[in-house]
Amino acid sequence: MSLPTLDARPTHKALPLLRSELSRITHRRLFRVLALLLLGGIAFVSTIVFFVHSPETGWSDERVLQEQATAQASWEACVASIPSDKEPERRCGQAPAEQPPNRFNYGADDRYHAYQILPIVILGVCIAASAIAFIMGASAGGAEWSSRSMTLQLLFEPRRLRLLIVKWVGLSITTGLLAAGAILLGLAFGAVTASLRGTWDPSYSEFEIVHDELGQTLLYMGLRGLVLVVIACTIGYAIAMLVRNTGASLGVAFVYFVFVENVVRFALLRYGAQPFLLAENSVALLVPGGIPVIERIEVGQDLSGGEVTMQLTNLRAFLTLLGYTALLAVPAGWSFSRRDVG
Amino acid sequence: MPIIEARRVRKTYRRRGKAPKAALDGLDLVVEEGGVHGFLGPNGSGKTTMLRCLLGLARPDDGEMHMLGRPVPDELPSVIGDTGALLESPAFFPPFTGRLNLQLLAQSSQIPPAQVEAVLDLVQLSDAADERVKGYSLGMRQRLGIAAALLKQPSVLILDEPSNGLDPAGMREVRHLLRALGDSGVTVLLSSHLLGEVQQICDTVTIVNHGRVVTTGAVADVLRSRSSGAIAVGVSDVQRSLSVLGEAGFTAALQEGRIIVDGVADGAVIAEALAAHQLYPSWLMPVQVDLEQAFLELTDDEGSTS
Repeated sequence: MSLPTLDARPTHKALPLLRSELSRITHRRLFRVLALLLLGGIAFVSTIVFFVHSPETGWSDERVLQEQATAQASWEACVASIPSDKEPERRCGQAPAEQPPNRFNYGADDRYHAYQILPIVILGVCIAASAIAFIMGASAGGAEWSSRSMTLQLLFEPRRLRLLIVKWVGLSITTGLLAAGAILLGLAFGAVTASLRGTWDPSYSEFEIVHDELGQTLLYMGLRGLVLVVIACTIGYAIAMLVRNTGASLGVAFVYFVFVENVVRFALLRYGAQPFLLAENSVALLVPGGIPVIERIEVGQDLSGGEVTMQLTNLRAFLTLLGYTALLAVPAGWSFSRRDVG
Repeated sequence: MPIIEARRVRKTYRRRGKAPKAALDGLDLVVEEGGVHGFLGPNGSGKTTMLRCLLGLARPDDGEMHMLGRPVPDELPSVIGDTGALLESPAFFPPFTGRLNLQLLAQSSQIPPAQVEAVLDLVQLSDAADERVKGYSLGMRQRLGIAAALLKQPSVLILDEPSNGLDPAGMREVRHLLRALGDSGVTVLLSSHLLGEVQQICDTVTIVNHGRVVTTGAVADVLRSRSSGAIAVGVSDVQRSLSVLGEAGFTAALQEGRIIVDGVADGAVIAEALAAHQLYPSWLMPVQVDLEQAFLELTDDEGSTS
């Protein structure tokens, strides 16, 4: 029994370690199932949306023509009721037939809002991908502690912070790529729906921001979505590194979102808690321009007053989420670099 | 130059609601280059804690440690490439196959894939290498752990209970492997409860108890130091022989059907005394102290004094 002599001594570089981590992550069956669930879910939901979105075509044109005829008839009636020397245009306005159909005529027809599903697609996909990224982060950390495989890895790379950072980078790359794939898949389905069930003509848009620069809006939303996914994955991994258990990490998230955040949202609304909640900041990071939230509630001595709202911008939401991530990741890193490993 | 040198290492575990427990109480450990060094001690004596401290998995409160001439854990990254280790039960990712677990470790250190196959072959796990680790028996996991420890082709091998869970044939193979590695110049530090195993394959030994070294040195020296200098005597007339030896000034007693004479270095004087009374011993045998006996005596002594 003998071993072949190694030509070169084992190295301890970051890149091979990262490659090994990426292999480790992609070989995880749970991660494959989660990825399949995400992509399959998007395909499934998109297919349903395609079939239920404005299945009838031609309906809207008929209705617009009908509305125009009705308007023309009432205009003519209006004109007829006014003596000819009294300038009927001043009383009855311009003849409707002289105005081309505009977006307000088509406002009730979903077909002409079809492309507006694309930002909503990104919003939905990114939130779903963030949830999956959180689970992957929590599972990656928890499984390594429960199997003690982290201990074995430390016998090959004893620089704990380096190992931790490489693992985090590997997870971020994987979840980021998965989210990017999910966004592209969602957009592809959404684009098909928008094309076959509606119009790309931006003149029908009611949202100016989408109206003006749809492509740029989608791109920036997607990039912010990737940031959210990496934040979610980091938070999941950090919690798992602190509690050293997947189930406990998921439990913490469940208790937080189901109980803590709702209690804080309603109990501390008047004290300005809403701009600091994770859910609000996550949505605010994704939605173009952010979302309005209640900053505080002012009540005067005579019980007058009301909600004071503020715009939770993308930047503020990002900084808030970054702060929360740091609050968890820094202790997790410190703890891992200092604590004894079993 | 010692390959492993630890001086005055202390490690105390704080326990919730209980008094702190000193796992290492100023422990010294010196392992010279090459050969197999046994590291013995009862459960809870601090063996695994010491190994974990050496490998950077636990932080000692005090003391100095060097491995391959470098201070650890500060410079552990510079020596870890030459160090293979197996601590207690091997910690592999259960859903992965044995081969994949090793491949990932090899990939992280840029060890060629051929080495994975070589170590799998060495521990006779090639046939089961594509099965998931969660389906492995304890012995198979142990073999895989040894394979992982050998993956780096280390010059220092630290093994904590490597025979744990192995069948007798497997234990013998591991013994042969460790002895061969020790003979080839690899320094093997072997922590084991199997005292017979240690006595068979170890050149030197350190026995610890309560976080302190009880004794250390070559196995033969440790055994000699615990030897009482007694000689067992086989005679046909036991009672008469006892009385003759007593009259001649020997301290003799009957133990398990044979006469044990204490404090005698040379059996010839016993034979001479008996022969003077026409009693001829059929055999004379120095009473050997094996490692188990030495271990139990040493750790009992230590326990009673602490």
